[in-house]
Parts: sequence; structure tokens; C-alpha cells
Amino acid sequence: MRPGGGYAGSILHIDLTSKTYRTEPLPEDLTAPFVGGAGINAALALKLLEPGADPFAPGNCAVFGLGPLVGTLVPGAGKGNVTARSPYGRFLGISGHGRFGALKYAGYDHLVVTGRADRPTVVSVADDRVSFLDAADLWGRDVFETTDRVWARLGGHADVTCIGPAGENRVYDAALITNKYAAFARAGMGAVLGSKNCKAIAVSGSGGVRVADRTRFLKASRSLFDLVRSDRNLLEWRRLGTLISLETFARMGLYARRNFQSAYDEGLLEHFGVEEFAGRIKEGDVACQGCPVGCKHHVRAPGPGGRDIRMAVSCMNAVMQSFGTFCGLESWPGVVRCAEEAVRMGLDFMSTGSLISFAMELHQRGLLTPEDTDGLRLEWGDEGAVREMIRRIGTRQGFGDRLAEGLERAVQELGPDTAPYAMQAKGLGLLYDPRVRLGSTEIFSQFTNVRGYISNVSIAMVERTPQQIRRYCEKIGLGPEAIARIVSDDGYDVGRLNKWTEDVCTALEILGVCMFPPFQRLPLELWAEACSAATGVETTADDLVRASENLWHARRAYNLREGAGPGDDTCPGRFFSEPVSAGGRRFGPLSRTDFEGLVRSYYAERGWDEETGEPPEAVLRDLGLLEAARRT
Amino acid sequence: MKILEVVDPRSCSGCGICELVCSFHNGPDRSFRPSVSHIRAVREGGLNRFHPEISEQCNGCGLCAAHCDYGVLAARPGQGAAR
Repeated sequence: MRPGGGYAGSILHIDLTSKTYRTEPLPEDLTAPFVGGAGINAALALKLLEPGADPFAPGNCAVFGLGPLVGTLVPGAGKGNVTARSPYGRFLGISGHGRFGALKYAGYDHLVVTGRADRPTVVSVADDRVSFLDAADLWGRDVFETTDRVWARLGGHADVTCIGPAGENRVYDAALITNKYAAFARAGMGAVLGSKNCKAIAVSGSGGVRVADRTRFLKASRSLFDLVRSDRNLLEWRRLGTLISLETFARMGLYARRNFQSAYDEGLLEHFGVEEFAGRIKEGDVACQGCPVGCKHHVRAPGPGGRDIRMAVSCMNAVMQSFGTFCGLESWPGVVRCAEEAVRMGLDFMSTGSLISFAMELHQRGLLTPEDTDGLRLEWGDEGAVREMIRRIGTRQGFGDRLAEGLERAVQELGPDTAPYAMQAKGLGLLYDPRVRLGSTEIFSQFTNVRGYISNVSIAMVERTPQQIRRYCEKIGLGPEAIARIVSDDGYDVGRLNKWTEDVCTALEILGVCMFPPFQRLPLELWAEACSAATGVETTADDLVRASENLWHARRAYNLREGAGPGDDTCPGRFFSEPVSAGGRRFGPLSRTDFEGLVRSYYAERGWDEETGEPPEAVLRDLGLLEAARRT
Repeated sequence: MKILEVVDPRSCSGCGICELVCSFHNGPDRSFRPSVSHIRAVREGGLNRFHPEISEQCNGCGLCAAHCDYGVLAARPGQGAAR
């Protein structure tokens, strides 16, 4: 296709085995149904990934994608997506962050990396020049050292996305980290690149992104910027980032304690006060590409051996949760030190925190002894033990090796009596306690999402009345029939609601825009207008929702093809058998029957078979995906 | 014509919006193209800290300052070279 704008119009394919590359035009049969970015990635992944193949086989490609608004003057339009077969095997690995947009200026909407290099390699993409650079001197180096050395070699203008020792060692929770802080964090994308001997991808571009109708585009851009800038929470988002909800969530009891054995209440704020963070830990604002919000942070904390830690952090709530509430640490400097260790290793914060929390509960219950853990005593709140475990997981040293393939494999490794304590869905550690707030679409979607937990920044993290949910549904354009399915006078069906909040978030993801509330709360029509003006292809809000639906059909078809099914869309047993208390209130246990009913509701609202969760054959055929979905 | 001033370089978030605006309005091909922007957010010493650098081609249009959400840039009326 020759797009009018928005798109670069090209897919770059890189084969590490042969150290060759080629480009292909971005095909219209993908842009029409999937629009771009994460949507096209979902379709490409379903088509390109070999059914049942080893996640670390050379043929497992990693597909990077940028939506049509990335690189333009649209607020928050810096989000990139990567999609690949996750090391967890039967689940699609997906992840995103806001610092991969340079690929667009180099002239590509998508980058497909396949094959396996015969030795450690850095891939350099600089406009139409692709180079394969020897990286033997980088192998074994941490993310900070690697990034510095690639910058020294190629110039500081390149965006450097690399793996640390964890990715090299194919640790399932290894991240891909750009410029030392922006992470394709969850679902093991670092391990996929590590299996290809790809230590880093450096991207720089000197080209531009055109828009089809400049006057119309600038008008849409101005409307969007004006609305983001008029958000009454804008400055608080900038000051606190994802900690903006910490006080509210703590009071609700949403932060699980000791691997979901109990829950924190507002007492958590004595250790993790937001003012202490803003006044003593935070040093400045960091923004994703093209973002007027700037919710990331420069942080500073006393490090080990008297040195100062100074680093950028994307999601401070993840840092606090992963090493604070999960592992029992009780200070900002402590969790920052753990975060630095995890970034150096190239590990995802949340998954690593979940693994260590799991091991700490096993230790508490006598299911692990210091002999099992190479002499390490995994006591709750022991910062030294947490940091040591981060290093051992990243390097697969000793007991770390037994945790290095995620919670699902760890249970196989450590024995079936450890299974009740693996608080995971699809192998990924859970973030929030569904017993406390199953009515949140973000919390519910931990179980139905194709990869396990993913943020869809629910409008219902706090309690909402049916009237409020009804107004939300009206605002996003649902008709009376759909609203009647979702909301009654007594409450609402979170399974059905989840389909629509996912679609709103996914529509932004497809365009390449951040889905955080300052963006998500804006009318989808305005984003569609910016897309129309940029691409020259008339796009409505309904078109974006349809593209989201198509993306979810493709992702679901992938999981089903690979052997996943409704049995994977479930909760750990603890939530069905034990209650939890927080702030003097008792929550749960959940009813398995009710929970399974909500999962069926979600399938039904998506148009999938209520029992099997299968997308309709006719829809897959129309999308040109039926053959790929049925391949064996 | 305005005089562009960097009033608070430490507040630069690295968002690059200034580069987008400048390249679109002053660049050769009316595209969003940071590489030809007359203002660049320059990385400092291996960190994710940035400061703006203004090239001699700056024509003092002031649009970058008008779009800077972080209070780094200001444009005041006047004639003269951009600073």
C-alpha cells in the first residue's frame, strides 16, 4: 500500500541466522481489519509462528509494531508493542512500552526478528542500513553496561533495546529494556531475544512521519492536547505516576501481603508514603515519546557500598508492589535497590517479585529449607535475600535456576505440594487480589487475558454503582441492548464489561497511544479523527473497536491453536477456599461457579463460544486467519 | 520573531514534543522529523536526563516553547538570535 501518512508503509524482516534483511510493503489486508501496531502484530504472530514449536527455536519470531499515530504530534503516541511466542509456550507473549518509536523514523511500522545468530550480536537499524555487529564483549554484561557500550559504539542518539544476563540465560521472566528503563517487561520477551543470541537492537532514524491532511491533523492534535492538559489530575500524574492510586488502593485492601495470605491496609502508607517518595526519592520527571504527562521518574536512593543509585523508573507502583508488598520490604530505598538489581539483570519486576514471594511462603511453611536454597534464608522483608535471589534467578545460579522458568515450571520443579502457593494465571504472577475487588475489569482480566495479567487500567478499580457503569457504557457509545446485558439495577457483569474496557484500551494500543487514564478518558472519536487525518483512511470509533475485536480474535485463536483453553482462564485455588481481611473487612472466598459464569459472560460478549472460548470460524475466515488458526 | 530561552533545562523530560513541532513547521517536508528539528533534546551522560540544544538555524518562531509542557522553554517578544 502507499498510505497517505501515519504509516511508514513498510515491514522490516531480519533473519539473524543468515544475517540478512528484507523489507515488504505494509499490506492493506492487514491495515484494514487491524489498523496497525499491536493489532497487526497479533495477526502477523498467528500467521508467522509455527504451531507447537519450541519458544526458543530459531523460527520463533519476535514481532515489533508501531501504530499509525506513533511519531506524530499526538499526545502519548509513543507506544510500541512486541508479540511473540512466550517462553510459557501455549500463551501468546505480548508487551509494550513508550520508547520504541525511533523505528518509525527509520522507515518501518513493524520489525520481525527471526533466526538465531551464531554468536552474540547487536542489530543496528539506522534508516535503510541494517548491520549485524559482534557482541561477544557484551555477553554477560548487565543492562546498564550493555546500553552504555552500545551508545559508545553507535552514538547516544540511538534507542538501545537490550537484554541482561536473564535474557541470555533464557530466564522466562526476562525483559527487553530500552534505554535502561522502558521495558517490554512481562511474558519473557528478553528470553526470546536471548535465544536468538541477540544482545541488543539499536534503532535510529532520520526520516519523518507525514500526515495525509495537515490542517485536519493539527486540529485533531490540538483538541487532544487541550483535553490532556485540562485533566485536573495531570500534575498529580506527573508527580506520582502510577503511585497516584497508592493511598486509595491501600485503603481498599488491594495490595496482597505475603503472597496473598493476607492484605495490607492503610498501614502500608507508613512505609510507602507518597509524599516521602515525591520529596526524598523522586528527582525529576521522565516522559515517553510525545507525552505531555511524564509519569515516569528519575529516582535516587542510597545504594549498596555507599554509592548512589540514580536511575529512571517507568512504573513505580510495580517497584513498590514487586519488592515491597510481595516480598515484605518496607522502605522506598530498599525497593529501589531491588529494582536496580532487577533492571541490571534484565528481569521483569512483577514476575520476579512474585517468584520470590512464592519462595518466601514455601520457606515460611517449611516446604523449603536453607539447604534447598543454597543457605539463603528467605525471610519476609529481608532485602539482602531478595537482592540475592534476583541475581540468582537472572544468572540461573543454584536455587535461582529452579525459579528461572516461572511459577508454573517452579511447581513442577519443587513438587506438587507447592502448587497451592503459586499465585499465577498462565504462568504470570498476579498483581491484585480478586477476592477484594473482582468487580474491577483490570483485576478480572488477569484471568481471561491471553498472557495473564495485563494492565487495562480499569474504570472500576474503585467501587462503582450500576448507574456509574451505565453512564460509562453510554459514554463509550454502547446501545441499549448491550447496556442491558452488562448492567442491571443491582449491579453489573464484570465479564461483559471487561470486553468493552479492553476494547477501549486496545484501540489506543493499536494506534500506538498510551492507555493510561489521561488518554483513555478522552472520547475514542477524537483518536479516530486523528487517525483519519494522519492516514487519509476514514476511521471511526466503531472501526477502532472493531480492530480491537479482531486483535482479540487473533490472540485467542493463537492460544487455542497452541493448546490453551478455558481451563487456563481461572483463578488459583486459594481464592476459592480462603477469605482475606483488610481494614477490618473480610473478603471472599470467591464462588467458583460465579467466577466461571463471569468467564463465560466475557466469552459471550466477545462473540466467542461460551464453553470453549473459540472465536467464530466465519469471523476468522473473513479476517484471513482461519488457515493460520487451524494449522497443526 | 521571538527570542527563545531555555529557562529550566533540568525539567526536560525528554518527551521530544519540541522536536516534533519544530520539524513539522520549519522542516523541509512538513513531516514530524526530529532529525531536522532546530531544537534537540540531548541525552546527558548515559542517563535518561536531557537538555535542549537550539541550533543556529532557529528562526525564533517560539512554537516549541508554546508546546513545552514541562516549563523548560520560554519565548519572549523581541528580535535577535535564538539562545
